[in-house]
Amino acid sequence: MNKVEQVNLSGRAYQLEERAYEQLVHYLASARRKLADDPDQEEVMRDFEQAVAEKCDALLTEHKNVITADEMKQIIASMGPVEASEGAEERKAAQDPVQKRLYILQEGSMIGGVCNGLASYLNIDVTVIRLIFVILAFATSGGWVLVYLLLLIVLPTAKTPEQKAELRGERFTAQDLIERAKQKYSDAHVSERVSQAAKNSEPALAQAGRVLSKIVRVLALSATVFIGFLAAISFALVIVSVWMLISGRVDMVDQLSTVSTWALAGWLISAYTLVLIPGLAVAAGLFRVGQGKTDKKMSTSWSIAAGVAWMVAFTALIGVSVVIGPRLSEYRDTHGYIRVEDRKALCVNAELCDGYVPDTRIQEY
Amino acid sequence: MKGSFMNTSREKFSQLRKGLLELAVLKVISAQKVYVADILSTLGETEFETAEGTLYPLLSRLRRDKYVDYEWVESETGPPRKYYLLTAAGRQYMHETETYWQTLNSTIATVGAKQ
Repeated sequence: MNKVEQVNLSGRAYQLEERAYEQLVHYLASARRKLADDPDQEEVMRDFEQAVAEKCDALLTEHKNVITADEMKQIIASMGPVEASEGAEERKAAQDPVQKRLYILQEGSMIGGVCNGLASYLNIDVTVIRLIFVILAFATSGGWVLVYLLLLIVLPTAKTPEQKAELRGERFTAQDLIERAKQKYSDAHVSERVSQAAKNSEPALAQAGRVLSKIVRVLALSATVFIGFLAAISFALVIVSVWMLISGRVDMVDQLSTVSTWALAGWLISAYTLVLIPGLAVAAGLFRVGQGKTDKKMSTSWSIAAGVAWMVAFTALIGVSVVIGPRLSEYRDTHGYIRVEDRKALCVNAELCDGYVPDTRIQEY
Repeated sequence: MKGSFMNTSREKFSQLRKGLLELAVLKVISAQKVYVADILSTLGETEFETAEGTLYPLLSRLRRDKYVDYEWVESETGPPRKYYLLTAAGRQYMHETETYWQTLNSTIATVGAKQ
């Protein structure tokens, strides 16, 4: 006994054994792939469906209304291999071997697009590559970051569609982009059913990859929440500190107060911004990984705004440090050490320090 | 006709046939308005035996190039069918191809022949 699936071919219903159905779905999906470059792909697909329908008609009678798996096998065999028909130009292009090249791919990248490019080049899930990079970064205690930066500098960026095709080792024709987009769309429809059939034969590596992506997603989401939490706490702390500085709630020592509290507040804010922006960028990236939307890139205007803000903070920090620095060292030079009273003052407030700071390093001065 | 010799030469010269299939299809269509099954059965008796997997993409390309066109004809047994016919441009293209093919033939026949 076999389960029967009903399909619509050219506007008529046909009953196929489950395995016959799977074969047909598989055949049509592979035909669609082979015709990816054909501008009339949809029409040819309809022609194929009608041809299959007619071949089914020839096998069906009043007393037989189901196509068996064996019959479907024969029908598909009689359709012959699907050969895309190319115009003269395409035929010429098809003869040149495709050169694969490694590029940086910024679409859907998290940092610079190195992992993303490598993933496309090797045709591996980008999450797996990222995970390997992170592990390598830890294993080499950060040394791998330098390798990453080097790759970021050395590798060219895939900007044109041609370069992106080159990265994947695919041929590029004018129709490619549209067809590939269509392909993704139609595959999504078919894949649901096909995956059922393909599940048993799915390579172990691909399975492992999917499990791995899931784990990474969960980790990424938890990390996002954690970073968000840290950002909120630290933001509150900085706001409070700045407010205390400016409102004069912190008693500054005479000499130290020659440094404007505004300058100190500026220093604090810029130092914080300098850390906050990359933190938020990482959080945003992790969040997208967590949602599995790695192919979406953050809007460029936001990226530019963040970059500019970071540069401003960096400049401000340098500027304020240059102004404050000499005064602080001047103060230290004239006193030779920091007096106990000053130490009290250096604390955010005396109550917290309980009068004394038991820090021997300060007394060494 | 279809001994083992024919089979091996079928494989050996597949590229030659591939290039000429278009001309063969145009010639079949030029005789009369035809349905794909007609083309397949006509060619099935020749060296140009082919199948839907090849023919449909080829026909759709020829239609893009405006060498052939089709019209829907109602069928008694099923949905309407596409009947292909040659356009004026297609007829001209077919003649050009045929003439060129004959030129190639005579070149092959004479090239390298001793004077």
